[in-house]
Amino acid sequence: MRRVAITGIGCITPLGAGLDAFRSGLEAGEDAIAPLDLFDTTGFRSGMAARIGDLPRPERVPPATWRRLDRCDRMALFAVEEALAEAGHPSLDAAALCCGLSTAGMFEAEQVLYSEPERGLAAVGPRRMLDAVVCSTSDVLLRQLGCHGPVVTTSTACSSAANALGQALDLVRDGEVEIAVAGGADALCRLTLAGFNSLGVVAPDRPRPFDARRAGMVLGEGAAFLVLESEDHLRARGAEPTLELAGYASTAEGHHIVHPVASGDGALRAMRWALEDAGLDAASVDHVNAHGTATAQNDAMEAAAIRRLLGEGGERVPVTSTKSLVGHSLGASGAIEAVASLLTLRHGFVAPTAGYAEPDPDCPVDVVHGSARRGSFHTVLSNSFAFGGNDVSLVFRRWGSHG
Amino acid sequence: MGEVVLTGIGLLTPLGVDADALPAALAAGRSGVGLHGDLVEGRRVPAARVVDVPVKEVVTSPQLRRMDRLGKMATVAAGLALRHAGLADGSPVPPERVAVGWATEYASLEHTWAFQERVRTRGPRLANPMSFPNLVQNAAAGYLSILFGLRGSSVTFCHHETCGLEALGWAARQLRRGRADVVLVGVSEELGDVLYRARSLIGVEAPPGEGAVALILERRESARSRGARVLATVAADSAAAAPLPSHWYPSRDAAPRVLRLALERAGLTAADLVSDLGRSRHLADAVGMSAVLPLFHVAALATAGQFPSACVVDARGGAARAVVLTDPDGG
Repeated sequence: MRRVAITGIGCITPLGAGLDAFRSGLEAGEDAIAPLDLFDTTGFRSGMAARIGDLPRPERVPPATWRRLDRCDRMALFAVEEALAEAGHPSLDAAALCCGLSTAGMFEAEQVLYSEPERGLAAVGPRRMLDAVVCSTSDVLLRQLGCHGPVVTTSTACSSAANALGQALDLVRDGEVEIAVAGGADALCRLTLAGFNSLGVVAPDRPRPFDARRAGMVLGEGAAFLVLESEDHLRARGAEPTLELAGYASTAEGHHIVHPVASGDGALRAMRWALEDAGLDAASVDHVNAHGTATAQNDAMEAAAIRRLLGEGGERVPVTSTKSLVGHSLGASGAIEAVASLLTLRHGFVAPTAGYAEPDPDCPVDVVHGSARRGSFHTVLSNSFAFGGNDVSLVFRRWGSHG
Repeated sequence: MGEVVLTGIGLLTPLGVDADALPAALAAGRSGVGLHGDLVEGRRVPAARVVDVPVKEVVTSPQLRRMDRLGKMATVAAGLALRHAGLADGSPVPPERVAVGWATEYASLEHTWAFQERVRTRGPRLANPMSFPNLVQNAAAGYLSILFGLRGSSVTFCHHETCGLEALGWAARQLRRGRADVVLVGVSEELGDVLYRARSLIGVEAPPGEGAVALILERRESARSRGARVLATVAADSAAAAPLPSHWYPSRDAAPRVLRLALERAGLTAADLVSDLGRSRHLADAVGMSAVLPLFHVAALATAGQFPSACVVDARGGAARAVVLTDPDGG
């Protein structure tokens, strides 16, 4: 089976624009959670969120193009351009483009709706309606990158980007393409803030994943993209692989449209299948980047699934929740957490879970907290679970790892 | 890993739900297009609408109370497809081996904007927690896995009009990779006044439509071992893009490329095809233009026994996909 190297990483998160800002924020355990000032949150149960401040225009994107783009498109383009720069700007002529998306230009459509309240929905013209359609960000990227390979847009709520990375892995592994650009983007908007508030799963102050006092998630936004290449393609252009996307699985819980199955059966299946896909067993896993939303149900379910997966000694495998620092960026979160996993492999640290202080007996996993944990990590599992019972796991490895 | 075959079809289109009667309906020139007064204020406009969504004839469950019309349309098509393939009751296939690859371009667009209006006019505290989960694009796939007890891999695809063939290509890969023994693959789309207004910008070539199509795919040896009737062989699929300066229109360059590629993979040439109705006005006039059309086309080709045949879709923005069907024996 062809192995798939990760040769470019790019991201923009509430911790800052670019990989360096993300890395330093993760290492320091900084969180970017604050009262949301993107729109008026009067009347929402919680108006806390992690938002992106500066959204710098990449050099290769003309100002005229940049001005026309939605926030989501801009985040995606920023992350893609950074990933391509790290990869050395390989030719994308025959590349695949795989995007995990969720709300696209919804924020901008809402701005129109709220600016002309007397007109109601009539204020939101057809063009704005279509820019709020999920795959509009894929169109923007396709136009900018000029890829001629397959275009895939996945949208499975909070696992959208993880599924997009999985599609890219399969396309490269199966020889359909030699190179793929894959990831996800999502921007904050009223729709999701109102929706998650209505479900009563948003914390009033901050998320506390796996903590006994946890009271829910806090929304975030951002984008992350990777360049994936076949080993042959990479070596042919004189580069050496260092990181690998080794396995992927998605599964349906078939239980409830919102609530996860408490036993963790679905999450366990996703993790086991992803490891099988990578040709590995659970003993290989030396870190889990958890879905870790900080909701009562998710964290207990996920902790149970992780312990069932890892078995004896599983309590010593470090687990963290990136969402405690950058919020839950929904459709983008799988890609942002993929980048956090890759930083763990590349730089030898696991970021702390902010807000964690009081262990919950229902979450019997080793939650990294207080400060980053140093070590040599070879295999990381990254989880993304979603509405509809869609559970996804990805396996990332350092290229030279064995076993 | 073996050939991929089609063993079940479920339809919910403006022409009804009877897949076997489909070729006759198309041959007779029947159309589901009618004039509707609820899409544009003060005017009756042509559109192909599904009149009845007989979901309770397919499945009974308390979940139905939570579902919106789009989810129910998907459920009808999926239930009929599973039944058609002989997998509805007492299936010999373990739930973990049945995958769901679903597609939708616009998902619950109407309900999304209704939700938005409620929040705007009545305040965020009156946002409806029952309807919010239905607004995610994978809600239909989630409901299908719950209602039919399917616990295999699952992904929802949304790339414009190619989304149905995205899901079909994914399904074939799941089977070839051995990740599933059966894949329920389908697409659902709902037409309302919001979508009608949005589509008016695109300059559609035929009246807009809605509906749902579900297909059951499996490996030939699996189908044979359980005695299933094979309707067609999914010989090959392909995908490519020809990026455009504007994303409002499809590329005419990508479609020939994906057809050529799919034919190469199937070991065929264009001269072998007995049907190439990828952008057929005939089909679009019968069921309306929507992301449902490509899989409806696949279902129509298989039901009519037109082999070898191809379905080609070129979407707005420049992405294109193709699938080649050959006869049930793979010839």
